Amino acid sequence: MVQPRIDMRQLVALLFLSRVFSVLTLSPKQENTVENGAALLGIALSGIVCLILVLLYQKLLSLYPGDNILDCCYRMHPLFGKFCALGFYLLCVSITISTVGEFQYFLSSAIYPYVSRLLLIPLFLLAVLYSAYMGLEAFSRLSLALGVVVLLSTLLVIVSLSKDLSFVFLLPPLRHGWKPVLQVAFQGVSLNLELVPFLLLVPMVRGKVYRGGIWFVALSVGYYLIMIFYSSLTMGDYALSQVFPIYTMMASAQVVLIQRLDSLHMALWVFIAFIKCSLYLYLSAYCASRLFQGKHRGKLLGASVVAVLAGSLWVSGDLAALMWLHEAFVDGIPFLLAGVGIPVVLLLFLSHKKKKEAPGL
Amino acid sequence: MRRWIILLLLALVLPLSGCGFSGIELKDRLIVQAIGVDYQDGNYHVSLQVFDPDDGGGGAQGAFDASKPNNQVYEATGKTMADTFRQISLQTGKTVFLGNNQLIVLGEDAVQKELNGVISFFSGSHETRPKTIILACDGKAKDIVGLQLEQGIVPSDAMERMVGLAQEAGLTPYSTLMEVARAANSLGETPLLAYVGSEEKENGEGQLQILGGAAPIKDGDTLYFSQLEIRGAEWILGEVEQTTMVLEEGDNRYTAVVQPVYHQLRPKLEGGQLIFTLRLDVVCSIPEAIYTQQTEMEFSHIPLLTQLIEKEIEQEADMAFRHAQQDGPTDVFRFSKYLDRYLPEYWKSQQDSWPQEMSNLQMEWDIRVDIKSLGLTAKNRIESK
Amino acid sequence: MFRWLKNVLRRDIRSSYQAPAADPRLSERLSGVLLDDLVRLRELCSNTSDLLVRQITISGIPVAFVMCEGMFNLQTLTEIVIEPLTALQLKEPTPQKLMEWMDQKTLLAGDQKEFLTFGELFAFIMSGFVVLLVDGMSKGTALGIQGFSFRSISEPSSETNVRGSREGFVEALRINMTMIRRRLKTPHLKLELLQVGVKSRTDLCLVYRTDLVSDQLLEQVRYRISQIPLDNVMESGYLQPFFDSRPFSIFTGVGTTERPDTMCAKVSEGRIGILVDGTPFALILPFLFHENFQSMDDYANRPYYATFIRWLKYFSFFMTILLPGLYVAIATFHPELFPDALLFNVATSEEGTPFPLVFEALLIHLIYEIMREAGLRLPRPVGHAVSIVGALVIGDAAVTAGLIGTPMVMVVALTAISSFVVPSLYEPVTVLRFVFILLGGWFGLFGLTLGLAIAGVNLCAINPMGIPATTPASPLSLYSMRDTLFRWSWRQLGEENLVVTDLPGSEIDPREEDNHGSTTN
Repeated sequence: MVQPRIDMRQLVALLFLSRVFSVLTLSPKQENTVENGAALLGIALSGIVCLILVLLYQKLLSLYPGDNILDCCYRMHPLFGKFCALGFYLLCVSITISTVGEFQYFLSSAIYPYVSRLLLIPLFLLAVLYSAYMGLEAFSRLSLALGVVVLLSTLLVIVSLSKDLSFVFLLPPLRHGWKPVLQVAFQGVSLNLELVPFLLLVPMVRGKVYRGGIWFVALSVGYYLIMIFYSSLTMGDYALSQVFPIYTMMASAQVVLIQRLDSLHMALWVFIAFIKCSLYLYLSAYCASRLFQGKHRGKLLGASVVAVLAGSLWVSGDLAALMWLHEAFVDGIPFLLAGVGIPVVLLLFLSHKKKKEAPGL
Repeated sequence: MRRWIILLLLALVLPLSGCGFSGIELKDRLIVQAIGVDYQDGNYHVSLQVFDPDDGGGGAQGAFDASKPNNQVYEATGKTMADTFRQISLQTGKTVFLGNNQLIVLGEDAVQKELNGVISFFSGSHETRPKTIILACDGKAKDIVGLQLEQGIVPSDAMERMVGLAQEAGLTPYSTLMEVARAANSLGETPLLAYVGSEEKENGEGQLQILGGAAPIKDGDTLYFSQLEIRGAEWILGEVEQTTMVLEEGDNRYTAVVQPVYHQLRPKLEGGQLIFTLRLDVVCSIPEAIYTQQTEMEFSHIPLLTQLIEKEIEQEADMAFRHAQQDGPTDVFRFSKYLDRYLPEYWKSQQDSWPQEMSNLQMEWDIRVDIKSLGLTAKNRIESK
Repeated sequence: MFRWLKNVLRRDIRSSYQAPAADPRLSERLSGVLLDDLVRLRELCSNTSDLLVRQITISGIPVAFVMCEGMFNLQTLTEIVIEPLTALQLKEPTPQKLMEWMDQKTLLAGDQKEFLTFGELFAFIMSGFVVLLVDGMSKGTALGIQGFSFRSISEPSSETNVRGSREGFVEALRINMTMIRRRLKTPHLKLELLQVGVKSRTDLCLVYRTDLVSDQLLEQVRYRISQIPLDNVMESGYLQPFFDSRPFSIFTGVGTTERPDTMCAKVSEGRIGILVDGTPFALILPFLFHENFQSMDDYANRPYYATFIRWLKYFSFFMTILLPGLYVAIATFHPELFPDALLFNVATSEEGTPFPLVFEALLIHLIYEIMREAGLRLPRPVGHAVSIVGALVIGDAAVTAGLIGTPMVMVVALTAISSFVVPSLYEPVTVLRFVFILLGGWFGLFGLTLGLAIAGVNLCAINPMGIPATTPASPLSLYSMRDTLFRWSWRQLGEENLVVTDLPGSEIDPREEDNHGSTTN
């Protein structure tokens, strides 16, 4: 099958939108609450860590240009490659399930309280299946246009909220020490699972892909900082009582005739969830097909959708399960394995192998 | 071929079958414009001012008639807020829709006994706007909600505009749902609500009165602030946008339009004494001056006017502060937040006994006035003698 | 994934369906015996009434003129062909010497060709040529002295402009070719004639510039034309699906134009134009999405105004597809988005109407489409009655009767007007509008955004001839956007000529420089 090719900017847009989904569904009730100053510093630190990781990935994938992380795993050992392909497949499916579950939770809490998840989820997955089927180029091109719209809409919201900022709510970051800052930094890194798609998509990108990685980290961290800054400084403690504080913040923004921008938030959020699920569904089919020498991608896509449908119906019907799944990502184990552990092991092994292969040794 | 025909028929039938997310047509919605909540004997009494197009003209052809009342008031009593809404839905046969609600009016009882309950109901509703204005009223909320004011399409329009203007001028506080909920959930802070009442005009019609502000304090009591006291509180909070002040100096009277441009409130500890310093920079214009002995404003009057305005602002702020300190004590000025930010150790030691500790608080005022304009008739009367 | 669906559909194909196939009799060669050839000729065309055969003797050699009635210029035939031939006195006349004289010693027509088979003979006479058969020669000569009637050059009906040429293509291919040649006086402009349609043998002309077009693109186009399995090609629209990378997509990657100036401009960007005999609508390959929002007026007006009009077109496009669905979605599911006064108006208007808003929207838009279609098909004298009926039915009676609300009339009016701002997108816009009404009515803003996302993916998946339809917006090239969202001044636009194969994301190799301006055939 012909390898799809996307632009560096499209990659940035894809990953940025995927990350923004998590930001927009940020819920203080799900995670341990920290003060906004500590949160801001922690997020900035997580950005630095992510940048270091991007450089690490560059070092790894530059050893064999044209390879992604799965190719490197197969280089190490075919069995290890299969194991990693299965692991990445499960990770992508879990992320999609979690995304759909949170998506349904948000819609049924804030917009359509009386709509059955049995209607909402299949409808959404049908659209996502179509998008994943049309291929990486299709939804990545859409994501670039959407990324611009998201940035402009965010600008509109923050301009309209600027007069409501109250700096008395901004608390110094280190007043309770480094512990909350590092806690947030760790969460910021462990939830930045978009670095895994980055590892998988590298050979499919035209242009300076690692510069794209840096741009992605910078944009997503910047966006995260702006959202936390504005939500905490416009709403103060009110944000803590809200399940979806960003949504509430947008509901309180007013622009000319539009008395509330929460529906704009909802529309963007549906688009963003669509892009994120398309990306992970596509990658899950890709990873699964690597178990079968790159064949049967269509059938595996169908199988992935069925798995996601079953999983998301389960977690959306059981809030505890949804929270458990979310906590599993927050704990950091999936990212530590997929985003740190495997790349480090590969880097050490393949560097050594490359030195052996070099002429003269 | 048969398969395609069946699919086509299904596709055509679906719009009529109600398939989808079960949307509610506008004609089946009760478009609420103002909500009044009273609380008595453990029950909520809710009155809703609802847009009623049948009361207008036009019908299916055109717009409503803005000169007509265009509203109806429905009331119900229940154990919970949701129960009262359900009852009203049953009364009218329509679904209550709060998405365009402009005002929430709380009666005296509701403010004193059930503020948290009411706030949490509306905060949790996905339809209610976070910036819905919350008013405390003198007496029963249903009297305010039932006022038939003629300005505006519906009475709540006029009420919202009146309250909005008063808020801009600092004569009543910015009490939105979000702000009240935030203050109510904040440790040590007390929400400050806009306080309104009604009065009867000569022709027997009701009229909304902006009375100032109200803050629920402990033991189910409420502390009331007059308009000038509220403006004083707003100087301290930094929420005045533009206001008009009347100044008197002897027999001369002036009107000053005042606009704050800089606000800073900082706490400090001096020898164990907690002091809050308010620095407020304002720019003014004097559009009107009434003299007994001359007709024109003079530039040489500026220092005097500056002093007058500074003194007036300080007096109002001090009045508000003293009222909150002595008759409360109640922290409507967000002092707790400033302490948490700038003196976190002190705040940690005092937070459990705040706002009682406010009794020991002192204020320092640093008001700076800059008069930019004296209107079009002022003349420079610096004479060379 | 959808292969099973395709298999299900194929089972419905009738067994009696036969794929287009050429008639083997037409490849018979001329025998050289004049009488036998004429007899065979009449047999093959079933002695059709419009076939004219005129036999004369030239220097004692029997010759026959074969032509179709009304297709040739009689005066030219008489003056330039018959008179010199009848006056000819050859020494020792033989059929070979006669042919040699006609080929080399005289000019009987500007366009003179030889042919060998009956198929070619029919192709020539049915294109207006006069064919000369000489007894004793197994080849014939076709003389290009066409004289059939055709519509005169007039303003294009579908692409009117305020500034710019008023000439549009006509049905005659040769006339269209001259219109292009007059506008691009460069030897690099090549007009390549092909034929398509097994039975109709419709003439096609590929228009391209040899110094700009990519060989890969050209080969692709030629290959696809050669694979078109149609009996008859009556319009350029018949060919469009064969050039689309995704025929089931809502949007197309093949453009059409009626204007020779537009064609020349597109060809000067490395694209290929296809003129089809019998239709004034030419095709342009590849056609990108943003070109729907460009017109010749843009390039004649000042840049700031042209940019404003571009933005207006983009806005109109989104308004026409989304406005009805958005109105239905907001009024049904999210009325809090309406400003208060507007909500009151809408609520008052809808209070007395009997139908759900989604049904109202579908009904009124369907009525509008019926009227629009009727207006196209009605004879002109009756045409104005449609507008009166439309105004009465929709504008007055329906609202007065309480069937629909007044805001809905406003919505349909705005939607209808804005759909004509971008006429090239009328087909997808009409379908999308109905889809969005249904989505908005069933699923609110959620359904609308999901539908928009699917439409967006559908658009972004199109790669007309290997170039992304959404380029240069995505993949992004800021420099190439100078003629997309904005229209820079000609001082900047003229600095570097845009070549479509150079756009980001293009899978087409640019033209090979070492061909020295000519392409390999």
